[in-house]
Amino acid sequence: MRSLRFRILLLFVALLVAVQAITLFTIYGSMRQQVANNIANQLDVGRRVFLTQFNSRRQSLAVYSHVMGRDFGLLQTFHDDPKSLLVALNNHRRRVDADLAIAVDEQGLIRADTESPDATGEDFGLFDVSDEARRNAGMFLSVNGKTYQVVAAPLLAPNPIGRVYLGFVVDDALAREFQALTSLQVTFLAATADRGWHVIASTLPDPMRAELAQRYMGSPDTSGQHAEHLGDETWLTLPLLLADEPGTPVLALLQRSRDAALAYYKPWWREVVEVFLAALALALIAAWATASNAMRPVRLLVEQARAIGRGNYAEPIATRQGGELGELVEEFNHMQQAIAERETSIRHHAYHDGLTGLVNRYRLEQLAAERICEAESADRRLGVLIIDLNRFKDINDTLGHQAGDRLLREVGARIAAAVQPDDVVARLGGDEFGVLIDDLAVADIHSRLDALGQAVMRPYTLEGLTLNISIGIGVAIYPDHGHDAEALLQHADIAHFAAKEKHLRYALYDGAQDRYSLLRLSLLGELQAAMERGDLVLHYQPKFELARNEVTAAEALIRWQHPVYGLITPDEFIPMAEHTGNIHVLTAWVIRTALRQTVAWRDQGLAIRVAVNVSAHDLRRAEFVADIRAALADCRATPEMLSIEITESAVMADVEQAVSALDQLNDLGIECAVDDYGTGYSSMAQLRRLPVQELKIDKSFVLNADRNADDELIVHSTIELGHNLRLRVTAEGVETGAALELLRRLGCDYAQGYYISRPLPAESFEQWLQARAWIRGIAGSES
Amino acid sequence: MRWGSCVAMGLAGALCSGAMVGAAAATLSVAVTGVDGDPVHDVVVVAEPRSEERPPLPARAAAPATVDQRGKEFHPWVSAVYAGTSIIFANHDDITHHVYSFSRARQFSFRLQADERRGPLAFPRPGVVVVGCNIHDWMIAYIYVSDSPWFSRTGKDGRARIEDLPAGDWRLTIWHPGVVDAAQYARNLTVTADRVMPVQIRLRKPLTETGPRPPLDNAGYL
Repeated sequence: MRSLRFRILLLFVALLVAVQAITLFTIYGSMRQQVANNIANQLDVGRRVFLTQFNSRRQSLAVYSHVMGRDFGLLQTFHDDPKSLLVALNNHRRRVDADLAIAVDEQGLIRADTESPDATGEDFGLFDVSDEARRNAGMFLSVNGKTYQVVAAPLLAPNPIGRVYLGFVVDDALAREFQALTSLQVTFLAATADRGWHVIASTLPDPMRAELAQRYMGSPDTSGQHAEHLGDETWLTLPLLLADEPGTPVLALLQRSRDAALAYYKPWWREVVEVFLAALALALIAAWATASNAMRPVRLLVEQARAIGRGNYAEPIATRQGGELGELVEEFNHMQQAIAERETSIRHHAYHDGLTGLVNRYRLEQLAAERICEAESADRRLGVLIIDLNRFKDINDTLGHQAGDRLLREVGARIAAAVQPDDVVARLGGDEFGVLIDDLAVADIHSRLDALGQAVMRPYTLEGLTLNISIGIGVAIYPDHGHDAEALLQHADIAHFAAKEKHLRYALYDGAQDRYSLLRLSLLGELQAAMERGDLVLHYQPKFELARNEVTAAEALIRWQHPVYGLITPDEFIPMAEHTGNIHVLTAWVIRTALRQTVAWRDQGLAIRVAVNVSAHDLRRAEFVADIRAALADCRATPEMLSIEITESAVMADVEQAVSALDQLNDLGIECAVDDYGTGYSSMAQLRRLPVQELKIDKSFVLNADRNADDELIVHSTIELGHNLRLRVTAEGVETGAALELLRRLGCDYAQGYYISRPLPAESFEQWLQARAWIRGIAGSES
Repeated sequence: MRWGSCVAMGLAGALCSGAMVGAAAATLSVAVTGVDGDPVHDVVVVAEPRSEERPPLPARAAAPATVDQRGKEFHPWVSAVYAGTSIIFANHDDITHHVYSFSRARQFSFRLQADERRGPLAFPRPGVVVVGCNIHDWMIAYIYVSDSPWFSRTGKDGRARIEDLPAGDWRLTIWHPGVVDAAQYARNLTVTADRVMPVQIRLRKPLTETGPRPPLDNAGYL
């Protein structure tokens, strides 16, 4: 819980508590001070009341004592009638409610004492009764264990003949009286010769009184207000020395308990604390509300930031908040919008093909996955198509890249227009397009794809030229041909490859083709490994020279003994190598392997010319001839050891280039042959231009030539044609002795086929050659 | 005449006391001054014979003395009388006075209506009789009852004369209500010739009383 809100709240509360604590502390301090002041004030007032009371008592006594001093009855009886004097004296005492009356003569001897009637004649003493001594409380005397406030007046007859003393006793009743007047605790202490200072009267309870007596036994502190600890309480004490010597020193203590005074404030204090607590609670609520309110936009921002983090840019934050937070929210919304736009742009680039504006391969795979899910839940099918243009490279090369790009855009647009709006059209790269078609059942394929094919293959106009193109389409259907996007795309690709292979407009995926897919996917990596491991081997098929009954040449045929798939025929992997651009690696390997073998045979005395098949892709490579020259040099081979065979269709794919490449080969001294002649629809004129020295008749014509008149005719005229063009003619697919005889009769130069020998590994070929088996077999049949 | 010769010896020299007795009588002229040098009145001056053989007493005065009440005052303030003399108290005011004394020498108490008089009252015992009025506290009179017939009282001028003092040894004492420790001023003297003997007495302390003290706030009716 370390949110900003909490921290603000904490700060608020801490501040508030601190302020309140200071305030309370101050209030409490001033309250204590107030109490102390009040008590001091009270004590002072008490002191004044006290002294006033004592003074007024003394004055009233003094006045009366002076009257007594003139009293005729007292004067009359003073000298001679002690008993009458005592009665008269007591009578006067009663009149003023005094507690003591004593008459003494001029020597200080008692003439009458109302408290001790028998004390007559005892020495009482003469005390100063001057005006000075009569101030304030007057004089105190201890008589018979009691202490009295005493005044004295002369007995005047009319000259002074003695004195009369009047006194009020100082006792608990007096203390209580003063307490009632002053609201203070009152204690009187007196000092006598025999007892020292002792408590003579007090309003305090006995234990405290004893404690006080104990404390004041010595010389008491009379220096002003001070604090006394009595019982459990603190008493502010004002000592008041009422009278000193002569007479008995008397000290009055006026006291007030501070604790009691504080206790008086207790309810008020509790109220204050309650108010403070209530204020604190209110402030807490207010602080919470304020913090929450202030933090709401921030919380919204936080939530929004999380939403953005999850990729949700849709909703801006609605706020009416002004000030910095409002601006922040606004900026945040701007930022969110900018991010959203950028992400849209990035996603568009990530998902789309820049040239055609169609989605790209990556997006197609995503969409395919989505559509598969939809199709699965709706129990429908989904068609995955891969389309590419045939011979797009020629267009690109002849009309330029810009025209090629325009064509691609146009093709994309036509594909998109030909499918349903919901269907997905993607450009996968190069001239390859991918299409997802919802609800494409196998039964519908013909009609749907015919329509698509026709739309795409309508003539295009580019650079003022009308252009016809053809396409190949591979189709895979969910769920028949796969359950995920990857498998379906791969299978569609395989099917598309098959279509191209078979020169079909479209092909549906066939499980039997599956090895291709595996092969193709791993070809690039595996081909290299296969060459290094020795999985790739060359087999040699003898070419039998009919005129000399000799074998002087052989065709090198590649074999791939795959450790997993077994023997893979060239028909299977050569097109793959061509398709993936690896054919030149393979070709280079074949040439070098064949040359090394030929050199080996020459060294054994066997003069064999090895024919190597190259593809149209090889001829297109500028480095092709240079590579062969290098290979000859590297293998210490001579040009007559090698001949190059190229299929008629490969030549026809790009006649100009083929002518150029073959010319260079001839310049090197290497002979060239047109392979599979009869399948490539080449014209006589084209054939005549080709710088080749050999023509190889396709085996489809040769196989049945000895039993089929048409084939015999074709073989015959081909041989004628070849000879007319001064070319050597080779017949492939010779499987019977009859076929061989026919060829011999038709004047064919070379024969090649199972009748002579199947393709043999190098070692077997060597043995076969040295055994000269054909002398007894093939050649022998002739003789 | 032992005390006579002594007197003679006490005086200027070679006079025989016997020769003087009976023949000579002197007069004491006493002057009393206060600490400030001013004359002090109402000082009672008493001469007492110091010899064993007392001189013959002069005839007692037949006429009584008077202490009047006039204007709410006693007059005189200080009286000196020979023991046995009577005193008449006469009220000359138009109000009642209550004259009393609780002094050991003479005690009395009586009321005097306006213009009433009482007495003569005998004062046989020597001593100081302090007279007051029970109605008017401030009224006070001192009556010095002398054991000796040779006495006098200073007047306004502070002087007193004791006449016809026989030759011999004398002890001179003074008394005054306001003189503190009067005994210190006592002195012995010897009378030898028929002549006036000046005696100068200077008080060493201020008087505690100088005269009657009527109340200051004396309203008309008081």
